Amino acid sequence: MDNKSIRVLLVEESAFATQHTKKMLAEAASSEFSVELECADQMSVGLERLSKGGIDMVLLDLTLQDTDGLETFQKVHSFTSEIPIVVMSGLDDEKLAIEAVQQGAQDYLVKGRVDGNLLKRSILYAMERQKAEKRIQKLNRELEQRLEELRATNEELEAFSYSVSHDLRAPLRAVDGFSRVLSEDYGEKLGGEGKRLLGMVRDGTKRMGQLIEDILALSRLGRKKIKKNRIKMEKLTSNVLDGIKASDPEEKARFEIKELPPSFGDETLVLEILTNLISNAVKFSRNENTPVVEVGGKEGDGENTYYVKDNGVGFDMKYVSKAFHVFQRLHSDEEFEGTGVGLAIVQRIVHRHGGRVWAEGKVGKGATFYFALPSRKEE
Amino acid sequence: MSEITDNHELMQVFYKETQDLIDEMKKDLATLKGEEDFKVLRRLFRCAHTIKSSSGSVGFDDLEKVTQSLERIFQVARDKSLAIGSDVIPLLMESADLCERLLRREEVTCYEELLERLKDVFPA
Repeated sequence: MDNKSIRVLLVEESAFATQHTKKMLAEAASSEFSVELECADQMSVGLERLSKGGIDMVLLDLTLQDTDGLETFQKVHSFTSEIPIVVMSGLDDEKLAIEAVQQGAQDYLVKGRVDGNLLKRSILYAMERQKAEKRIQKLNRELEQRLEELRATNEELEAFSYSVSHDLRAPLRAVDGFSRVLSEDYGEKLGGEGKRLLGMVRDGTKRMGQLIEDILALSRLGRKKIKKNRIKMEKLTSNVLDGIKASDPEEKARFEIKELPPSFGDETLVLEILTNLISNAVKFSRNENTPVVEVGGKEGDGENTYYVKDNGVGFDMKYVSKAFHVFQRLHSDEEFEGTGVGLAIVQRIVHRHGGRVWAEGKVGKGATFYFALPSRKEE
Repeated sequence: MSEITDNHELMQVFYKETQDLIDEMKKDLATLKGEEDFKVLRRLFRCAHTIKSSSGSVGFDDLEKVTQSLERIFQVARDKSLAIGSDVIPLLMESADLCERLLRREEVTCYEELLERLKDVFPA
C-alpha cells in the first residue's frame, strides 16, 4: 500500500459540508491513509483545478448551482476518465446516484449518513476499482489485437490451402488424362500385370482428385459470408432425401422424418450439414438388412437441436473426438469409401453459426449425430 | 454524531450556513405568489436539500425530516410544473419558521402536525 498522500478534489458548495468532510478525513487519517484535500465550491472552479493536473480522485456533490444531477457528473466525467469519481447525493437520491455509478462513477455516498470510516473506505475502494477497470480495459484491447492477428493468420491459411489445392488440379489432370490414354490405347501391349499396375495408378489419381476437391470445399467455407434466415427444416430435409433417391433410385434405406423446429441460419450451408449427415447415415447403414435413418429435432433454450440417427455400423466412442477432424476416419477405406472431410465440413459450418456439434455411437448398433444452432435473438 | 456537536468550530459553520439558507428560503417564499417560477423553485429546492444533508450529518433529525418534506414539494412543483397555491405558501412560511426554531433547539409543539400537513401537499 502506497504511503503517499491521496490528493482529493472536493467539489461542494456548502461550507458546512466542506468543513465536515475535512474533519472526517482528519479523523480517519492514519499512517496508511493520508489525504490532501483541495476544495472547489463551483463546477467551473473544479474543472479548472482538474485541468491543472495532480488530482488523484474527485468527491463530487450532485446538487451544484450551475448544473443538475446527472449532468453534473457527466461534465466532470467527460473531463477526466483517468481519475476516479465518488458522487455524493442526498437522502432521497439513491436512484440518481446509482445512475451515476452506471455511467462511470466508482461509488456513491449519501450526505448526512457518512462518517470518517465510511469516507475513507469509499476513497480507497474507488482508487482500487478504477485501477481494476483500467486493467480490464487494457486486457480487452490486447485481446482485440490478438483476435485481429488470429483473423489475419486464418485468412492467410485459407488462401494458402485454397491456392495449393487449386494448383494441384492441373498436374493431376495431366496424370489422369495421360494414364487414361495409356490404358485405352496401349492397354493390350501392357499385359495383365501392367494393366493391373496402371489400374492402381488411376485409382490413386481418382482418390487424389477427390481429396483435392474436398480440401477446396472446406477452404471455401471459410471465405463465404453467412446470411441468416428462418429455415423450414422439414422441407430442407425432404429436399436432401429427394436428392438421394434421385441419384440412387434403388436406395433401400427407410427414412423417418420426425418433427423439426425451424432453424435460423444460412440455408445453403444448413443444407450442406443435412446432406453430409444424412448421406453418411445412409452409407454406414448400407450393410444392414433394413437400414433406417431417422431425422428429428427439438426446440431448446436459446438454441434448437437436431439429430440424424442410423442403425448402421456405428463407431467406438473411444474415438469420438477424432470423428470431426479433417481426414480422420473411424473406418477403413475398404469398408466404406470417403475422404474424411464430410464431418469436418459439418463442424465448421455449425461453428460458424455459433452452434455445437457432437456424436454418439456404439459399435454395430449405429450412430447419432447431433447439431445445435442458436435461435434468432429477439432484438 | 454527538462528537460533531462537541466540535464547536464545525457547529458554528453549521448554524451560520443553515440560518443563511433559511433566511434565503423565507425571502424566496415571499416572492412566490403562487405562479410558477423555475428559478425560484430551484433555489428553494437547493436550500432545503442542503439543510437536509447537513442537519442529517449533525444529528438534527427533526430538522432533516422537515426539510426533506419541503425538498419534495419544491421538486414536484418544478418537475411537474405545478403551481404552489396561495393557500400553501403560508404553510411553507410556517415550516421555515419551524426550521429556525429547530435549529436553535427551541421548544416546538406543532412538529408532527406540520409534517402531516406537508405530506398532503402534492400527494403521490
